[in-house]
Amino acid sequence: MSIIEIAEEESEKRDNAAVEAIYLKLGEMSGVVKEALSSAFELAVEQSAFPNCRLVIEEIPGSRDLQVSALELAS
Amino acid sequence: MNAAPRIVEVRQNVFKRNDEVARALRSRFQDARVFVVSLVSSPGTGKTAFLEKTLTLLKQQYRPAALVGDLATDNDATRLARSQAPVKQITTGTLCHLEAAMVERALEDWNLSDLDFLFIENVGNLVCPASYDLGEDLRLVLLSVTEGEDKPLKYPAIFNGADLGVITKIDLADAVEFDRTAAYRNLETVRPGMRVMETSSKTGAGFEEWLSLLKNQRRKHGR
Repeated sequence: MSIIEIAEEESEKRDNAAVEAIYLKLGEMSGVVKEALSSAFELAVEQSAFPNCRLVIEEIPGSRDLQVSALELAS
Repeated sequence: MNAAPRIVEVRQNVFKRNDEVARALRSRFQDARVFVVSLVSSPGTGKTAFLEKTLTLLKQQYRPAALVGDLATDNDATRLARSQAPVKQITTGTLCHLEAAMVERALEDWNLSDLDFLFIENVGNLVCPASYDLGEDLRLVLLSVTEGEDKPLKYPAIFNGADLGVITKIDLADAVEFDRTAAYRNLETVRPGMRVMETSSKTGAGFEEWLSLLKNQRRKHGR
């Protein structure tokens, strides 16, 4: 899924630093359901380079966007 | 050494990335003069039966092909292959929708100029596929008479994003006491002005109208 791809690419740009958390801004009007996204993420992240990564979702009222806003990287 | 985790700002829009791939696909489809139609619906609406019938009828005069998104099996692709049209399965695994990049990958070894029509059957789901453009020219949303007239009100985003509504299994309308007025009213509420057709893949009802709409749309798009 593209959320994990974005995180993987950003991690590669930074010496493959392990991604510990992905911060997501989820627009209320985006058509994406938080629960569906969370469960899909749990399954997909297991097959990624960082299986223990958390997903932190912040819901944005009135927005149609879905944005990876920040990453938490291991130092 | 600092052991605290680092937070880095990324600010990458997930849809924007998909939209870029979809835009590139759309321009490839245009260059190859292939008319692309996607289908969304809940599971069990009859997408595969509808598509099998469409492919079989189009095959007499055109060169159609199909991509089918499915979570785990290739049953749908096997069914569609009976139409003799080229069919490829996209297994999405845990993902409940298709993304433009998956379509792009699936098309890698196909020569698009050999095709007149390409159909993309999305994963059966009324939530996730709504936000992902696949580069298609026409997006169909299917609603069967057996699943209740209030689906459009429950899933407005997917109905709002579609170009054409298809009511399937119309041969069962009387048996299940399908409330046609309510269904049309609900569709009109979430997607004012959307054209709606009624079909039965079993009896063939409505397919003449559907095929003539397809051919007209293809011409309209200059393909």
